[in-house]
Formats: sequence, C-alpha cells, structure tokens
Amino acid sequence: MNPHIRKPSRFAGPLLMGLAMLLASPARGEIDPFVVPLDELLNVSIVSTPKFAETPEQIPSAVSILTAEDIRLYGWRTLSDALRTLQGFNVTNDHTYDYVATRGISKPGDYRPRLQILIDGQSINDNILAMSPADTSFPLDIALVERIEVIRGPSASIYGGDAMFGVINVVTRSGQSIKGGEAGLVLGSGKDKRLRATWGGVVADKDVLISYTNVDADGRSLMFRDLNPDGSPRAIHHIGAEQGEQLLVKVRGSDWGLSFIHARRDREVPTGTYGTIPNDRGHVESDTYNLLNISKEWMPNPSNSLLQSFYVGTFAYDAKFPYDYDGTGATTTNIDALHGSWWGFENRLVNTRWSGQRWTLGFEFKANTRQDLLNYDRNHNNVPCVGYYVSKPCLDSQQQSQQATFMAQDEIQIGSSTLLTLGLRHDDFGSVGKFSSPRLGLVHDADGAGLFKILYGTAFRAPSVFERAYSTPSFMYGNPNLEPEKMRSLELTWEKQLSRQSRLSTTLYHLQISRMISAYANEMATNGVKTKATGLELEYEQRWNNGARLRTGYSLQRTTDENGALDNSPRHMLKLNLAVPTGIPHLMAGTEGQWISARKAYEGTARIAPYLLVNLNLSYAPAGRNWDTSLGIYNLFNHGYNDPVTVDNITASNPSALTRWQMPQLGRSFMLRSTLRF
Amino acid sequence: MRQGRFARILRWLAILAAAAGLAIAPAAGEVTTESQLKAAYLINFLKYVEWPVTGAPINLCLFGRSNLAPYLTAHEGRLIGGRELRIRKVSSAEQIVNCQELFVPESEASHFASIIREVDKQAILTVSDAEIFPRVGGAIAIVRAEGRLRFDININALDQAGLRASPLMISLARQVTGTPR
Repeated sequence: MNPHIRKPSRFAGPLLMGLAMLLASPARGEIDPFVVPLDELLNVSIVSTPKFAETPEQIPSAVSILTAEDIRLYGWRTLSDALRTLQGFNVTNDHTYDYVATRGISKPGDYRPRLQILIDGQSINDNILAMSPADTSFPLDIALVERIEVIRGPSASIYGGDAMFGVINVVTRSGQSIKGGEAGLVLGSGKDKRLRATWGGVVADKDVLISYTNVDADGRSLMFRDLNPDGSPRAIHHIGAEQGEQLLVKVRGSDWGLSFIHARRDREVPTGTYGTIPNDRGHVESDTYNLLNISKEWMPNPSNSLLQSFYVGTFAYDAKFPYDYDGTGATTTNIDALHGSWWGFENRLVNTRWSGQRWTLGFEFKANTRQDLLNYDRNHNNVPCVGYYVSKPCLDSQQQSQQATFMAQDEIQIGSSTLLTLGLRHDDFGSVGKFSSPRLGLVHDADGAGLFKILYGTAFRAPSVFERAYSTPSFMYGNPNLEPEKMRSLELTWEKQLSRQSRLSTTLYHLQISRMISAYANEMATNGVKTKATGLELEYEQRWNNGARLRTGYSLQRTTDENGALDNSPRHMLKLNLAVPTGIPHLMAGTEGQWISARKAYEGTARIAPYLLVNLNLSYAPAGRNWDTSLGIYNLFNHGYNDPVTVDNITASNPSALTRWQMPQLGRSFMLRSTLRF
Repeated sequence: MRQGRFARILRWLAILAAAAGLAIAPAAGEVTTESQLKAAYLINFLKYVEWPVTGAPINLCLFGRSNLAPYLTAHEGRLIGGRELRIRKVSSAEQIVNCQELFVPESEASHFASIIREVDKQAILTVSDAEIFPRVGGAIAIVRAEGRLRFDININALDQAGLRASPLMISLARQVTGTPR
C-alpha cells in the first residue's frame, strides 16, 4: 500500500447504511397521474427546483438532454462518458484527467474547456484552474444523476466567461424518487470497486437525499513506446488507479434548498508525465471539492419571483511528483499544492408583469478568499526546487480577488410564434478589468417547417490564476501579462419534429476568439491573435414503442489560428447510440460507437490516426423487483488508439526518453453494476 | 492539516444528517416539483370530467409559453377512458378548436379575454395557474396554497362548455363559484 495515499474515511458509509435501513420504506416510484387519484394529488408537497427551468424550445441554441435512463442503458461510468456520445463533443484522456471539448477548440494542456458545469444550477468550476471536471474527479456519483442538460453556444450573458461554448447542468435525483435506501456496487477491470449507500425520502415535508460513495481502483497495465530509448515497449502499471469518496447531502423544502457536496479523488499517475519516475506509485494527483449552497425563493406576488442563494466552496489540487534528478536512483518528491476557496451570493429576479415579456435581473458577488499556488521539493539535500539551486519554494503565490456581476435578460414574445431574447452581462473583476457580454437570440416556431433558432453572443474570459501565476524554474507557464480573451459567435439551429417519435436538429456556427490564451509546447502561456472555428452539428433521434431508442450525430468542424489548423481538432466526428430490447424480458442491449477522424498533435507537426470506439452494455431491470444490474464492455473490439496530450519533455527522470505528445488508451474493459433498493 | 479539517466537517455533517433523520420519522405525503404536479393535475382532470362527444384522441393543449410540456409529452399515447392522450402546443386563440383541455399559463394572462371569447360554448375545459382565471370566465384555476396545489372551479364555465365534472372532483375543490343551472 502506498503510504502517500490517504485512505478514504470509512465512517460515513456504514453510518448511512444503518440510517437507510432504519428509515427504509417499501413504496417506490414517481407520481403517475393516470393511476394516482385527484384526492391524493392534494396531499403532495411541492419542492422548489434550481433556476434552470426554461424549456428547450425557448432557449435560442441547440439543447441535448440525457437522462438517468440513458445512463443505465448505455452504462456510462462518468459524466465524460455521457458527453462524448453527443455530437460536437471530443473527449481526450491523459490518464490523469479527461478533457471535454466542444467547438473544435481543445488544445492539449489547456485545463479550461470554456464550458460551465453546474450541479443543480450551482457552478463547480474552481477559482484556480477553472477546470470543468467530468471524469471520476467530478464531485458527484453518476448514479445520482437524474438528467444532464447540455446547452450549446455562448451563455456567457447568464453564466459568465466560462460558459463560452456552452453550459452543462447536472440535475440530481430527488429523495422522493429513491424513497428508501439504495445500495450500489460497481466492480470493474483493474480491481475497480465503487460502493454507494444512498437514502432518499420525505422527512417532515422536505425532500431529503443523503449519499456516500467510496472508490478504490487498482488500475490497469498498458504498453508505452516512448519510455525506452530504442522505442521498444515498456509496461506501465496502475494506470487509472485511484481512491476517493463522494458525499452528497441535499434537503429541499417548498421554497428553499440546501445542498452540500464533498468529493476527493487521489489519482496515481504512473505514466512518467512531467518527467517523474515512470511506474512510481508515489506520483499522486489529488482533487478535493467542498461545495455548500443554500437557496430561498420568494414570491411576493404572482408576477415576481426572487431566487437568492448563498454559496461557499473550496478546491484543492495536491500533487506529489517523484523525481530522480541526478540519475542516481535517489527520489526527490516535488510537492504541488493549489488551494482555492470562495464564497458568494446571488440574486435572480424573474418578472412577468408586462404581457409577453419575461425579465430576469441578476446580481452576483463572489469573493475568492484564497487562490494559493505552492510548489516545493521535499527530502532532497540542499536542492529545494526541481533541480535548481534556490533556497526557497519554487513557487509561493497567494492571491485574493473579487468579482461583481450584473445581468439582465428580457424574453419578448413577438406575435404567437416568435421569441426574442436580449441579454446583457457586466462583470467587474477589479484589477483585471470590467467586461460586458451582450447576447441576442431569436426562436421562431414555423409550425410544420420546424423550429428556427438564431443566437449571437459574445464572451470574455479572464485568465485563470493558474494561467497568470503558475511558474516554477523548470516550468515557466504562468504569464502575469496575459489579457482576457474575447469571443464573438453566431449560430443557427433548425429543429424539426419529424414524427411523434423522431427529431432532427441541425446547427451551423461560426466563432472568433481574439487573444485566445494558449501555450506553445508547454512553454509560457500567451495571448494568440485570432482563432476561428466554423462547424456543422447534426443530431437525429428516434424512439420506438417497444422501448428501443436511437440517437446519432455527425459534426464537421474547422478551427484555425494564425499558425494553421489547431491540434486535437478532428474534422469529422460520428456518434451513434442505440438501445434495443433483446427479446428476453427486461434485458436491454445498449451499444454506442464514436468515430473521430485524424487529429493534429505536437504543435501541428504530427498526426494521430482516426479511431473507432465501440461500447456495449447489457442491462437487466426485472419489473417489480428491488434490484437491477448491468454489464458494460468498453472498447469492445480492443482497438488500440492514442489521444493527443500536452507536449511533455519527460526526460527529467528518464534521460533517454523522447518528447511525448500522444498517449496510448486503454483496451477492452468491463464494468459490472448492481443496485439494490430497500 | 487541511485534509483533517475536511474530514471533521464531513464527520460532523454525517452525524448531523443521521441525527436529523432519526429524530423525524418520514411523513406519508409525497413530494414533487410544482410543474410536475401541475402536469399531473391536468391529466387527472381528464379522468373526472365528461365531454358531450367522445371521439378518438383526447387533445391536451398548452397555450403559449408553458413549462409543462416536458412533463406531459412523456405520457403521450397513453389511454384515458379508452381515448389516446395527445399533447399539443397552441400559440393563438384560433388554434384551440380541437382541444378538449386547454392550459393557459399565468404568464399568458393578457390572452385570457381572447381565449374565453374564442372558447365561447365549445366543449373545452379551460385551466390556468392564475388564481383570477375562474373570475374572468375560465373553468379551473390551479393555485398554490401551504406548499401544496389546490384548485378552484367555476361551475358556470363548465356548464356553458357542456362539460360535467364529477361530484367527487367538485367536492375536492378549494373554492367553487357559480351555480349549476
């Protein structure tokens, strides 16, 4: 057992399990209005939902909604598994994180995907890297997800600069929908064990959900060809090894809500990334989130509603990098500690006093009370900083900042079938500057001809603390002179309900980012000149009465900057998800395929071959029973493929190694999932 | 150091949650979101109201901008009293001819008068979530009261439309206005 990895605390699991057993109630399921009589409806209490309650038809850009049923049918293990099935999404993996990207902009090494991820309407992007975690570092167990709402296009006027290319809102299950206890057991390749205990129900008219998940995975082995000087393969073990925990506590009343999320993931990185010693189990990168949100909705009169929320969050990235600086075999551990904390409050007033108009006015204040970057060497004589003889930490930066935001949006009904959306957001980042982001949207329902949507939007993205300040003598990345990047985009969407059970959606977009922040081959981050992206996204959905469902998508995209086409920006992507009944009652087969065309890598000098990934999931949910199970086979055909990664000089502990710019991906894997309700 | 604090917070929360859970026994009532519950009411009314002509599908129409569609379309195709349920969106008073039930959200209150005029004596059950609706000639208002939803009925409006509400439904209403002829 590796001494560096702290074992997950073990008290909460049994405690919750005991609690769940005590309070278990036999009844289950949501209200079915066909069955429930009117007098019972009178007794149902209502709970408030997060602010996100617009309907897809009113949002002036393409919207995809993935449900808990999709998660079960296709056996998605993480949020990124779900997102990569959507048209326009490209997910890459470097065995430390998954990087979710859309609109063709996903340069390896860029931690900010320019997407905003929300859990029940609350932002989870941290205040140091502004990452959008979607792999197992996402602070919520995917088994607790009721719905994933993906809104494409610039929503910066509502959600801020990180919502440049879209917003992903993850809605959690209600306690009511669980109504009792639930235990989840997941077993996967590489001794991957995930245990979950959940209790949900109604306590004194409040909807309550408590869930705890414990994760322990040993990881897999994979051959690397860039670690031996002669190019011969070398086995790397414990890829994807991790330990962690996820806690969610949620209470909802009729006009208020409280939620607390705690999650930690310690991921082993044996790949020699950053030049650490390959196969050293001491290379651990850990992410910890704590997120608390309290909200209250006021309805002083029928035409006004005010939602107030108060939030507190902390994020910690703690890494241990084992180095062999002088080739003697003596290990020096370099420590990285990026710690952020913040609090803020938000007010959002929705007014429908004027006929045919819906005004939303918002004010938000956020204080980043801590944005600390620390890096130093441990236990190495007189060499305190990654091979450089300086007698202080390599990096010790402490910052604080504040942010105030005003936003206004008016949705105006024009005639009977047209909705105009006008939005404006003004952000005041203090010393970084003040920015305004307008947005203009139009939705026209042309009945038989379908739904037409036009969205013009702008967005500012201030450089993150990491991009401005993270510099050590061996890694001069941060650039204090970075300027904010600015985007303008126009997109047109056409959606048509072809029949009661089939739907087609098409989006054309063009966007320009000036001064886009990126780094050449992991050197200092700089502002670019002009980045352009143009693309087409198609999606077709069909359902059948026997429960079968199909979703397929195609995207064509072209992204360029002053140096030509961008890295990791596939021209074509094809996606297919199909679930069919097998003929055996209650056994469904879900299969998915993702074909990604060739991608450029290594600053445009290398090419990564196309890949086709096929997954198969068999799910069995017997009617009237208190359990269900599913078996997922990922990368069914054991296809070998690579993902582009940040250009990495991995020589520090490995004198003969080459420069790395791609990473081999895992072959066939299995995961068995079982859920027991009581 | 910091990790230790997180663990303490976690432990504290878990214990608090357990204590709260043990102290209060779960109530019998169910909980749902307001939109979901409104949608359940709209479907339920169809079970308690009689239409003069019983044709094939039963059309539940949503007027203008309404948040209920996602909760209703899932039930499309199911049978109520042997009739197939269909959900339709309508955006002007002229399009309501084939509706059996019409929901007009409060945000479309400016259209109340024109809709009531258009409905006139047609067999359409008009429902809104505006409390004022029965007083301006609508049939049913779904209203929020004490963290639950109740409904008010205007008997005159039902009569004019030639609809019959079951005595049970009338007895469950919070407020009944008008008297049957």
